[in-house]
Amino acid sequence: MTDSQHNEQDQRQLDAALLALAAKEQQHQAPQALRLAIARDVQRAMRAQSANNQPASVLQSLLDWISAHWWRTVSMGSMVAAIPLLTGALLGYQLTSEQQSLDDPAIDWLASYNTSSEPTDQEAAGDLLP
Amino acid sequence: MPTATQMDAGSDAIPDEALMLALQQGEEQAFESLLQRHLDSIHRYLLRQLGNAADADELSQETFTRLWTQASRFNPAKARLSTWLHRIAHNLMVDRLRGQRTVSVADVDDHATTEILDSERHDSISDAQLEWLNLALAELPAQQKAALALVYLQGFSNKEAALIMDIGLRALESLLARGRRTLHSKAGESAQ
Repeated sequence: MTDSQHNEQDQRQLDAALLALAAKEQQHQAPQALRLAIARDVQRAMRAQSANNQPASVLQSLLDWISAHWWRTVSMGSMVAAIPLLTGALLGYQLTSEQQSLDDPAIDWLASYNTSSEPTDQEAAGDLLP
Repeated sequence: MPTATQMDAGSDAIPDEALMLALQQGEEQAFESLLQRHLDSIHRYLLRQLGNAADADELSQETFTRLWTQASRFNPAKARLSTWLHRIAHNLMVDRLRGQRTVSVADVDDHATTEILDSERHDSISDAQLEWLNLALAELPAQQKAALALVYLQGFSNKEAALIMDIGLRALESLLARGRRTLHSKAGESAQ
């Protein structure tokens, strides 16, 4: 047998051995505990992600928004609270002003002037008496 | 997209690509089916490359975690799912080995070797010969070992193996030739 033939035979034996090893390795199975651990861990992660993707309730969204923008919430709340307070204050001032004007002596004088400017019949008659 | 009932049945008729689409939609059953279909192969490859059952378990877990987290990056037009998964596993393995010394026969976990060899005896090749080949493969440089394992043991084409290892086709063929030569010379040494 020549060197070339000998080499060829060796290569064929190596191929056969590799083929046999491949056939044996095909029967290899990963440990069942590993399979379960991977399935459990990934499923848990998938469920967590799925829960995060669920649409939140209106209240939850509002709370989330407030917690994220608390400073804006405070300023908006202050504005909302300030409007009725300011309105109330203005209204109160206006009513008080009206009352004050009614109590004003000048008004009384004017009122008396107006009433006294028209003499009664008796006064008128009296004026005519000697 | 396959229905949950079809996936429950674990039918092999559902192609990987359809299961990947279902996985991208968050179907847990699709992940289960893919795990069932590919874990053994990935674990076998990592066990051979790393020679350590604990490391093979850990990187298998990482590979399948990435199957889910990176499902949207899978492109069926570029490669089969098994090729893509082996590429993930191979990259993880390379990263792991980068920080370690070269694995020698003495480092090969006995458990890992027996796990691979504990099946039925092949008719034409003796168990002793297979055990010798197994150990000789473990002694090869990592790149040669990966090339031989992917082509001869995992059943990938040269082109797919090159894609998994992220090297050119010629580089892969060179690794295969060198690996075979090394095994051949080792066989000669052990015969003397």
